Amino acid sequence: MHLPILSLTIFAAAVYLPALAMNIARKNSTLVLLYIIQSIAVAGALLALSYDAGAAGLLYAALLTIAVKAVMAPAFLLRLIKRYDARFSTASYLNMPLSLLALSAVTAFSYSSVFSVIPIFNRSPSTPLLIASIFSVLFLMVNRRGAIADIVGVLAFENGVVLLAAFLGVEHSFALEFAITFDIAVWIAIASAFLTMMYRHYGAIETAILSMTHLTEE
Amino acid sequence: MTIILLLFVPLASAFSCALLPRGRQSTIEYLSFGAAALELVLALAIIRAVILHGMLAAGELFAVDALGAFILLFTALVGFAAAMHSIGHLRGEMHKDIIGFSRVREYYALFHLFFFAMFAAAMTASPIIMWVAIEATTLATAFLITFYNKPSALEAGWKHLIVNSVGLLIGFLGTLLFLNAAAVAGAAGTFVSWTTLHALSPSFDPNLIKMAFIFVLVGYGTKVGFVPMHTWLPDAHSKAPVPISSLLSGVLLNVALIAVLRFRSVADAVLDPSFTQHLLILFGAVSILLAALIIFAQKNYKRMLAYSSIENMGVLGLGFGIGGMASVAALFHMLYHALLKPILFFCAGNFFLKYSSTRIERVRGALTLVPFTSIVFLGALFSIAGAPPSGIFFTKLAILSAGMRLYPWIMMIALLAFVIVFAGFIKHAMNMLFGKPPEDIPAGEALLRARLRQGEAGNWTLVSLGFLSVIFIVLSVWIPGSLSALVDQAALLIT
Repeated sequence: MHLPILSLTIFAAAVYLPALAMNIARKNSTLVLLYIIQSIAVAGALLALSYDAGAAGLLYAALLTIAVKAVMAPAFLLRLIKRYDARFSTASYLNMPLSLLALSAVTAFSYSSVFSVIPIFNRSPSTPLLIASIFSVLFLMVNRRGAIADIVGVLAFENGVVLLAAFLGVEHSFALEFAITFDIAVWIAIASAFLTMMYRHYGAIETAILSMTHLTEE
Repeated sequence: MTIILLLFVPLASAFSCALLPRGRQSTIEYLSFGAAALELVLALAIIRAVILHGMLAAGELFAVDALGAFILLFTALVGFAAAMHSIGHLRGEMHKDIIGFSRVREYYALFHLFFFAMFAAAMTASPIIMWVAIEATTLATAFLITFYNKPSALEAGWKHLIVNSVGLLIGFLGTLLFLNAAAVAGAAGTFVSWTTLHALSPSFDPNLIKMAFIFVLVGYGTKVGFVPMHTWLPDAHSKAPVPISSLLSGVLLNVALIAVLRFRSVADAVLDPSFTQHLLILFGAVSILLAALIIFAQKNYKRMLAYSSIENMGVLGLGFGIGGMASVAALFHMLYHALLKPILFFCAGNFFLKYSSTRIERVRGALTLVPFTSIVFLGALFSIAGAPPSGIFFTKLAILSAGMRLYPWIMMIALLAFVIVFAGFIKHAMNMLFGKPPEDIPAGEALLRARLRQGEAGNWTLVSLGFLSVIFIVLSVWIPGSLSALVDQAALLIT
């Protein structure tokens, strides 16, 4: 991989910053918008890597990423937000200052010696950023009570993993890339169907309303 | 060719079931039963070829070794029994107006897709395809868990989807780190198989492999149901229709565990084996202990069975962690558990059809009302708790004996947990089987049939129970030479 370290870092930052912002955003449509930015950054990084390495597999992966993650998934999610009038996702377990503290901690952890002992993780400053983005969206899923935040969290987590793999130099054939993206596409469709069912049952799409008492009632 | 056929049959069945029009319920049922029978025959043919030649391959992507063949054995056996039981159970639920035809059609389509994914995971030569296939099992089962369309089922399904997806993404990250190690070590091309990983493992960076294995263990361990990543399991297993619960518990958990073990064998070639050993034993012991305490205090018999699965995955974690002879015992334990847990879930289904409740306090006098199911349930509970002469008694004994020298305190804690599980099972079984049955429920299993159409549900649900019970009893007292050879070969691949 011969791409300048600066370009890799810019792409990684373009994945990390939206992940961070997702924890601050209060509107579901903003969450989706941040996810689109992140997905475009991933596709851009894959395109650059494909051009750099002359790897056709990465080019197709980039095109698939745009089609599925930057177009199809957001369209699904925005339609659901509109249909169920789920504009805001404010409920969280930790308040904003504590959330920011937690995010600082996970970012610091990503730059800690736990990861730096591994030579490939030291190859560029972009790697800790991607690890931090993965931890940040994991935190989003744990901290937020909205179902949309859960879905965007899973998808953003996948973005971080895919880009980390590409930066580490893991190559896939196009068939495998296609299988993985197909898997993600089906996942999005299923998650959307779950939101529909949730709305039918509860009239809202908040995971907090899925009370534990239901599981022991029968 | 046989491998491709084994993948084609469930896939074709899934599409056929989805496309059949209303009024063709019998066609869907017999198609599913026939497909499951054919899958069993194909699986046995593959297993035979593997025993004779060591491996059977189909192109670059699929290759069945002894471990894959071992998984195929109980996947196909339990699948056949579950297909039989599904016919009776779903007919019973239709007659009680719990579900309608479209639900039945959806059930069978997803049932076959689930099998397609499990067969693909067991037979693939690629770690990435294994991940795709295991993720596909999550997707195929999501709507099976919400099958009854109740708030509780929706909650269980959502938890299952989100927790497993995050877990599997962590597992994916671990997988990619293993593949990165292979790329750095000089793996040629874009396809990396298990064989390539093994061949290149001496050149892997140990620190990278340590991290990769932790991600794999936590990721796939979520699907296995190791504590503390188990939170989705009791909900999902207790809310799905019983034939699906039996597959989730008896087969799917093992498929995910095999993924961990395949990576573990690569990691052990790079690291001091005590690293993976300690991790597996830790997760195993914690899973056993927590599950035992919850089983004792449980109020819902389906959740009790789900926690029993967590306990048994813990036993497997201990066995594979200790290694050597304990690994062989753990493989047999996996087989026995895969046969017993569906029996227990099938019995739970029969109790539900009779009492319309999964709460232990509402099931009284079952021995009077459903005697065959009750006797099988009691026998299976004793067997899975480890009472002799059940095969599980010998596997638990072998694992504890092997571990006693190295980890005496952990083995003592595990033994204590087994006693708690045993006491819990006896307590719950006594409450359910004895006592005065409700007066408004007619006695006798034949009445299960009489409430439906004569000779239908009862036969299918009882024959599936009998089928697995006979296999379990036979294998508890006699292990065929070919099975023993297959297990020995499989143990060599993971130690």
